[in-house]
Amino acid sequence: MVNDETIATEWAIEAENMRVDYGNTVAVKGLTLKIPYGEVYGLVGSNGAGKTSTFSVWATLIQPTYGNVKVGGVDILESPDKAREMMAYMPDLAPVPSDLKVWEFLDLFARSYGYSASEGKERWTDCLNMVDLWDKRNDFCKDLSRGMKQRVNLAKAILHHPKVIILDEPASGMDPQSRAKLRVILKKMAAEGTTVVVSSHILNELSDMCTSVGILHHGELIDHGELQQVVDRGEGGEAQMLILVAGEQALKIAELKKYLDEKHAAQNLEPTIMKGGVVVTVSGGMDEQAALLTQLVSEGIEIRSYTTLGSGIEQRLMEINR
Amino acid sequence: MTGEFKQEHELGVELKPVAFWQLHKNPILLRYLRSRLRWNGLAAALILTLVISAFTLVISYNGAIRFSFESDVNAYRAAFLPVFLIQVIIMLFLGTGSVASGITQEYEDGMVDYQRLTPMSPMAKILGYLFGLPIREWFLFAVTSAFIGIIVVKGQVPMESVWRVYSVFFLSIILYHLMALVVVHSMKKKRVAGRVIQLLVVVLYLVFPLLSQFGLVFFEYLTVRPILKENMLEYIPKGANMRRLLDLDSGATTVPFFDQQLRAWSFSMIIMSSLTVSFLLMLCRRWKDVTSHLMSKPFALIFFGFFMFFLIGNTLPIAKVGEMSITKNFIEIREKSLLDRIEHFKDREPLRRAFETKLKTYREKTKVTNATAADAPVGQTVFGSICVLFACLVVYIVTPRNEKYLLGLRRARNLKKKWIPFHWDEAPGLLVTLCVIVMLTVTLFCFSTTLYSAPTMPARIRGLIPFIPIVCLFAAVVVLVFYLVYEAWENKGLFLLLLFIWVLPIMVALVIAVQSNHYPTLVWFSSISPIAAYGYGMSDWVFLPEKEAFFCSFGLQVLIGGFAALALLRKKRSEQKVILENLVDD
Repeated sequence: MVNDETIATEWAIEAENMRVDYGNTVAVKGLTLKIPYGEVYGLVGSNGAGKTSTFSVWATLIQPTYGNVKVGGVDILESPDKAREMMAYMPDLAPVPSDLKVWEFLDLFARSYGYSASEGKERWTDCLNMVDLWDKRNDFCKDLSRGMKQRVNLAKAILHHPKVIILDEPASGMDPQSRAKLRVILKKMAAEGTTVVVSSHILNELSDMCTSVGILHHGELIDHGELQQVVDRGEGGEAQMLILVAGEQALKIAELKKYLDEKHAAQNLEPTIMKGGVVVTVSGGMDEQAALLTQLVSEGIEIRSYTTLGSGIEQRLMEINR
Repeated sequence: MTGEFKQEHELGVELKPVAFWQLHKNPILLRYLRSRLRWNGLAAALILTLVISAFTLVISYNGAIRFSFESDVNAYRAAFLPVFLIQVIIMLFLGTGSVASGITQEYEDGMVDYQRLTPMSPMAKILGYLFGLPIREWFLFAVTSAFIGIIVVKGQVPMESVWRVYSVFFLSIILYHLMALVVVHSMKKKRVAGRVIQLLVVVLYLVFPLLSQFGLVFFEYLTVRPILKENMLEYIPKGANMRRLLDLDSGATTVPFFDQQLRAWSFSMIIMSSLTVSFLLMLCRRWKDVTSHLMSKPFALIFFGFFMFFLIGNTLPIAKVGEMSITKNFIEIREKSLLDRIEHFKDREPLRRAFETKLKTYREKTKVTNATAADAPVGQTVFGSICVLFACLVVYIVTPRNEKYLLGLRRARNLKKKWIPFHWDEAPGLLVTLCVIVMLTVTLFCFSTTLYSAPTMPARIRGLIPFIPIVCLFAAVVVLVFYLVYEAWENKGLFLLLLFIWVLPIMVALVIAVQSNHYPTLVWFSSISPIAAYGYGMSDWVFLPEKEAFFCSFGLQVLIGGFAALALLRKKRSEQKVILENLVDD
């Protein structure tokens, strides 16, 4: 389907000075971004940041006001059909037809992408198995639960072995088990060389699967790069850290809280007992958190383990929104 | 993670999306074959169609034998029109409804966007929906065709006539179904679109053909009636049900076109194929880019020019002999109907005599005269209104909303252009409007001068010819004002213009006419509407209120146009300044 010429490019998605307007509202402003193959790229941002507009342009659903966008080296404005051959898009609240059975829905799209009847059947069987919905193949799409509809749409998205998959809030409505499955599928596809671009409000999940992220704010790309780098570039701000101590739990926890209240009052850590440990608020980034832990250890506190509450990317996003 | 990526297709097969001509493989068609032909939904419709078709055939056949004493062959022929009517209802009314509601449902389900993302060509998608959405109606049509088959074979109807009728019928089905797709694709409120389509089918099939009584026969050829008349009338026995629907007007089955006389079949095929191609092009545009106009600006000009050319070519020969009188046409129809009955009952003395007496009385009541002084302005008003309305529709389609215009300005700025290129959808519609106005004015001028110079017109009417340019200028101003108001204040402004200036004055005038019948007040009120004023412009100048009212209406249009032009100029200048000169970093 995709010839060598079109895929012999370094970047799965290239956007240059991309702008999207709705009347006087600027949805995306001057977005310049390159996403390599095999990446799970998370596009994050608060509501109205421009994620869906960006995805709609990349998916060839709308045209940008201006700017160049290439998917797999193909200019989406010049050859949208060619670009569509190598990409898949799953919108937020992905739709399903009310009058088709699950297998009919997948067969429609398998054939739309050019599979013959037998190849198509083979392909949608694989995809249905992949999303654990083989048993539901003869059910009407309208009778499925929200999460199942999302999974059917995921199966539809991966039908034609796309080189780029764009997923807008793919996990919405899915139960935890399905979400875990979704992560596994997306990671597997990325490992095979497919680029997955995903947006989600469940940022912890994005942290778990994304190799790199971009942060959109009011239509502008504030930061992007490898996940850890983006997190590290944050000002730090305030982070909540859960500290678990060794020894007799209840007693030690209470002692730690008292200790922090008295000895570290100047640091304004606001220690609180919860989640089987003490939660403290630390001003600054990873370095400040590490410094506090080192200090506590040096002061003789036996720390069993610690964890930062909320993902790094979540904190970064909150910083930006502030 | 960066690196070249090459993924082999798992099955080792080169995928090639279905081409538009491979209809049997079209996935969208197959999808509807599955969903719309499920036995659960189909059974009731199938049984109902079988019962109604069989009943119609049997009752028409037996009725013809029992009451009209027709031969066996003629009795079968008598059943043709009723069964054909069932097919018309299935395909044109139910089928068009299915297309409209089906594509609306696709929009609501979000499936249209999904289909947009598949690499099939826009034409393949359009054809898939075109034949897929009404697949149940096609199936029911095939079922009724069995009954038509019996009628054709037993009634010994020549295959050539059947072929001619069905070739036009198929084309008209496709045309109406495409129209449904165009309307739903172009309207924002998809649910409303379904209603609009149903209304359009009724208007195009039942209302517009009536305009042929004013000499505008063009619209009749968007229906199958002329073709039935040309090819089937001679085979349908005179006493058959519904035969008179075909035989309402004069016996001519040819179509006047400038100095030529075309066969109804040829003319219908030309008109319908042209419209079909136009609709397909419009849909392709929408499938490629959902935000694009239905027509590009150059295409809109060609489309409008084509429409004007066919309309004038069709109407001039009728105008030349001054036959634009609705009264005269209706009288002729009624007379012809009575003459047919006399002929039909020539062997049944009492009935024949009764109809002869009826005809005599009717002729005494309505003495058919040549065109009267009122006929020319009426014909002129109807023709002018149709042309002006069509011009406004084209202008509406190609004029960008402000949102789109701003988008165009930004794009132009990005490309270092000083202005939005004319052919872009985002470019203002002024140039197209001016071109449309030129074509409109030429058409109206040709038509009016021909009509008013007809030898049947009274000398007083012919004396009005020097005023024709003023009236044509008025029509041009009306279209220009329509454009200016739309571009300046968009739909809200247009709504107010159409309601308070175009429609409401006529409604008030009608109330006045019913209540007091005070003619000058009626004229003054109705003349606020450009439609009525256009008619007054060329009416007999002896009546003073009409003359003055016309010029007042002209003044009102200029005033509204002036305000709109000022508002538009101010708006465009400021937007241009902000965006093109990049004074503000937006």
